[in-house]
Amino acid sequence: MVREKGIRNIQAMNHGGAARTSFGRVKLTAAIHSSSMPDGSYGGNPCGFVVESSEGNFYYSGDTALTSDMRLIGEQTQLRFAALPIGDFYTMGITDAVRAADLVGVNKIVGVHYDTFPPIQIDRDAAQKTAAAGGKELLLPAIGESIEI
Amino acid sequence: MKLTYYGHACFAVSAGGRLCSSTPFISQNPLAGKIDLEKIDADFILVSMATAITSRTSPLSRNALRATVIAPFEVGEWFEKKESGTSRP
Repeated sequence: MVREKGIRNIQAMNHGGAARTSFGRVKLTAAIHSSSMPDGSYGGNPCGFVVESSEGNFYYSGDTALTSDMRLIGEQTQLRFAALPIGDFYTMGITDAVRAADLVGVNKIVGVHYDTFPPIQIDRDAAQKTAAAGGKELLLPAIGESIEI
Repeated sequence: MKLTYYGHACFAVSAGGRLCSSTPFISQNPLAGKIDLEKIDADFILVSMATAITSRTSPLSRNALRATVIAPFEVGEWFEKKESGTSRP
């Protein structure tokens, strides 16, 4: 399977560490989720990412529950937006995503990890209302759509 | 910044002129059938967990194979054991 992917360059990192990249910096953050390899071997702990670039910074939480550790991210980095799971069931849902956005200090949420499987199908109108009630802008671009953010 | 959504938890962001993409899950996602993998040309791919590397994870496009994968330590080590040609930059 890996040869099929042909991956040649890997940065095998760990939580709290950052890698310098051609565009800036990527730091691994904590995430609360499962993580095991397809052959059953230990997959370590899952993570999120803080990406810093000359165009702006953003946070992708990865698949995770809400955690108060997210407050540290907002205290350290000025973010333009956060990509957060909103599908519930396997990850946090929109209510906790709004709280996560508060903790990391963003007003724009790019919703991910929703609709793919029946347990994580969402009511978009309800999600938008929840986000708006929390003072957040929930962005749900269509698959294949590009947005300026 | 330009963000393109590819379904599930996969998206690409143009940051500083470079693309970085989150955990790929495209070709096995029935909702993302219109996405042409060959048009995704990421410089960095952020893999957030081992669970994402399953038989359901899409093979990457040829363009993306030159990308650097940033992943948790054990996931990176797993790749290196599986493919001797993999090297750390």
